[in-house]
Amino acid sequence: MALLDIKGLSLTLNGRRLLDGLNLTLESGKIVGLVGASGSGKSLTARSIIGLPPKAAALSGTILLNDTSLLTLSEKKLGHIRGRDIGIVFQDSAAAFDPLMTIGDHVAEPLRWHLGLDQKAARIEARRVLDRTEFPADIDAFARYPHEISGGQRQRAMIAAALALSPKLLLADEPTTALDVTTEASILNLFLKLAREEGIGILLVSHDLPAVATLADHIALIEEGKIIEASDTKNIDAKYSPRLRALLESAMAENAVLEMKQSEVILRGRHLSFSYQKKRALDDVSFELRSGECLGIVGQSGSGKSTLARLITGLAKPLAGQLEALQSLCQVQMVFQDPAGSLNPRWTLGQSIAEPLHAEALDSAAQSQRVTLALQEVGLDPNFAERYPHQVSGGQAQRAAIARAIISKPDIVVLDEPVSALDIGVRAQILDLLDGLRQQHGIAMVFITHDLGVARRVANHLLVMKDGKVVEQGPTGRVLVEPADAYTRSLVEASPSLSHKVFAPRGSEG
Amino acid sequence: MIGLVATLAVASILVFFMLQILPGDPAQLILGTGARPDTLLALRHEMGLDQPLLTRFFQWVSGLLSGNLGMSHTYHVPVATLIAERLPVSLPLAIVSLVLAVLLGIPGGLIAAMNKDTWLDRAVRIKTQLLLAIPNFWLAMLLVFIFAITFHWLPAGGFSGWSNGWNAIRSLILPAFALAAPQAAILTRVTRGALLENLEDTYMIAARARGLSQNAAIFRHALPNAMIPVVSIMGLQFSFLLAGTIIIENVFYLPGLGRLIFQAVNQRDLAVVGGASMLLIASVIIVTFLVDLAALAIDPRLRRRS
Repeated sequence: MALLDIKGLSLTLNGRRLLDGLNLTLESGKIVGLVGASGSGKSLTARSIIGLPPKAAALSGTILLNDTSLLTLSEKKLGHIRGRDIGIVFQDSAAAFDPLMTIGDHVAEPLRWHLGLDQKAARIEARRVLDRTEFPADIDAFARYPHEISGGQRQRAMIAAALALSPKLLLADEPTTALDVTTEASILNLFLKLAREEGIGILLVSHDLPAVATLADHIALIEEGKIIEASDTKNIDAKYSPRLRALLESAMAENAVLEMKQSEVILRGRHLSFSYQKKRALDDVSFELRSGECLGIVGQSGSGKSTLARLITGLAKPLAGQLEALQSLCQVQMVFQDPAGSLNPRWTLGQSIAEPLHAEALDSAAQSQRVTLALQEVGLDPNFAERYPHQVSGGQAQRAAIARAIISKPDIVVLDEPVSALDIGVRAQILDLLDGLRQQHGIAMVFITHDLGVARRVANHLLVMKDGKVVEQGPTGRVLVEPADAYTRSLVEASPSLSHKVFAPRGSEG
Repeated sequence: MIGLVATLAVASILVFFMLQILPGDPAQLILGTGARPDTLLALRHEMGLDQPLLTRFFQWVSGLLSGNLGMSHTYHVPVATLIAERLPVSLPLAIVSLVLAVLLGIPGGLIAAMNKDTWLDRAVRIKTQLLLAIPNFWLAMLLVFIFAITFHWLPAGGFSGWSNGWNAIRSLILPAFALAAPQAAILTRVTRGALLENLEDTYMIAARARGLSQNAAIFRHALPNAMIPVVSIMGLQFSFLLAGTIIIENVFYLPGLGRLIFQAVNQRDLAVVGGASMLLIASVIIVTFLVDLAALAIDPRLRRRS
């Protein structure tokens, strides 16, 4: 017998059919991933299961939870089931907590409401539940308010509140979309543990197919309120589930470089903040950079991209948070937007290119040999070493700037809009050059650009920034094809070079 | 705290010099237009009006600081004594009005929000609009007509002093209602609006998902959040109630601060006007400070953790 059995679930709101005869089953101890574009109805499905659909919605069909039909229950009986038999975790943990109530009291609330525990007993039990979700033990949850802890900690607390009464069914509605990669992985692991060790059935609503595919036992693809494909995750058959298969392959292909190398993290930023003339330029930014990876940082001017670059290159110190280089000697070089401005006009290109070598105390012969090598690597003739910046084209000057950046064999090269001053043909050549250098030497690159087309071309991983905050991050393919954040979506839609989309254009909010 | 003191200092300068600019010489007013010039000069000297402006200002301020608000020219008693006689009428009136406004206004907003777009909501909204539109002196006269003249339940005006206990309370009931009515209407609107905004929030859905009934979620989560704007409005209202009693005290013949100020302005009793103004200003500043403290107590996001 299935824990959750949905048959023919339809939902009509203001004359529009948003769920259309949806069928879904979930067993205890299993994880079912419900994936689809925004507006496909996946969040509505979760809200319908827990009996809190939008106010004017009309529902039909059946939802059975352990053979109890939920849709025919009175509001009072549903109240007994919510929080006790079904728990739900929302995407936006900042919005899902009452700002005036401590984190701990949120977790204690269902204990007091359903079991009638007094405050003291409820708090003791709540602390136990928080431990179960690996909420940091050194944080006094009953003294902290939602705005005082991080997004990942809030998400753990929300899972704790959902699990307080050990429900058999946990609905997770995009639970990790707002989190950075490291936190996302640990939260997903927690779900796996809850399913396997405690036998909780989990419905994982997500747009992130690769994440779901690694975690879930079954996967269902929802489109326009219907399940169009469903499959065992281990064996997504091209014959029976062509759409899922294709989606997964395209998502995996985007990650291919990263997946194959399994490279290690060489730089990690944790909760970085920075202020510039009392204005918040960076706000709680976390990221990871792996060797051989190109991390694209996209956003409009003023979004904090260049500030982040300044922190990574050590030109500025973060006000809060840490930047950890995971190698003892991590060398960082930088390439700027305007090659004419970044090269000393009174120096030959060779002198400029050799500048980073000052630390190595080479004799002049060895030095000029390195310069020649570097010039060859960026596709310039060795005689360019004798020229001055005004004697070369913009593209050639940028190649020289790149040669200067790689000559000392750095681990990381930060590129701040390196092609935006170049014309299209030259731009493609420079991007090819960078790609080649990265793959050949395993240099990690941080590529800052406002151009999503350029980012897609070079970056494996994307960090989308707005107003100093990371609004979204993930594999480039995932972020551009199925953006989770409204701002990213608007960027993608405004970008003419990104015409291909896997999911159909969205209808309404889900 | 420095802000409070600075505001008071600026207010004292404004009050003093505004009163000096006002036309009409208090000494002339006391003696009448037919007074002999030497008598006038003597009185001006006695009242200190012949001294330089700055000297008088510093004398006035140092008096304020020591609790000496000067002498009333018309009553020939210290201004502080006059105010002390009137406060036991005006202060209870303001407090009772505010309590009434809260008791009538906030539940009204709560009922309207919980029954949004039903007949109950519409009835509450029409009532608040009426109360806001009706001038409170007119409402006062209506209340007198109904409860004093027609039914003889409550006195139509006057105040017999607190020694008369129950009668004193009875004489404040109608004025308090007349003062509270528009304030209650404002609180109803603010409460309803703030609640409706909060009802849509994700944390309300999350609370329902933990099993709470809609009403429990409103009382535990939406209502405390809605109180943040309501408390700041209440602070503005208390100041208004204390200062805004002039009309109501005249309608009900109450010997309160409002009537005192009204008469003092008519009689060019500048010492009384200045002293009472400073008292009202100080009370507004203190109430604003208390409201800020209340906001801190309600909203943890305003507190800064060390």
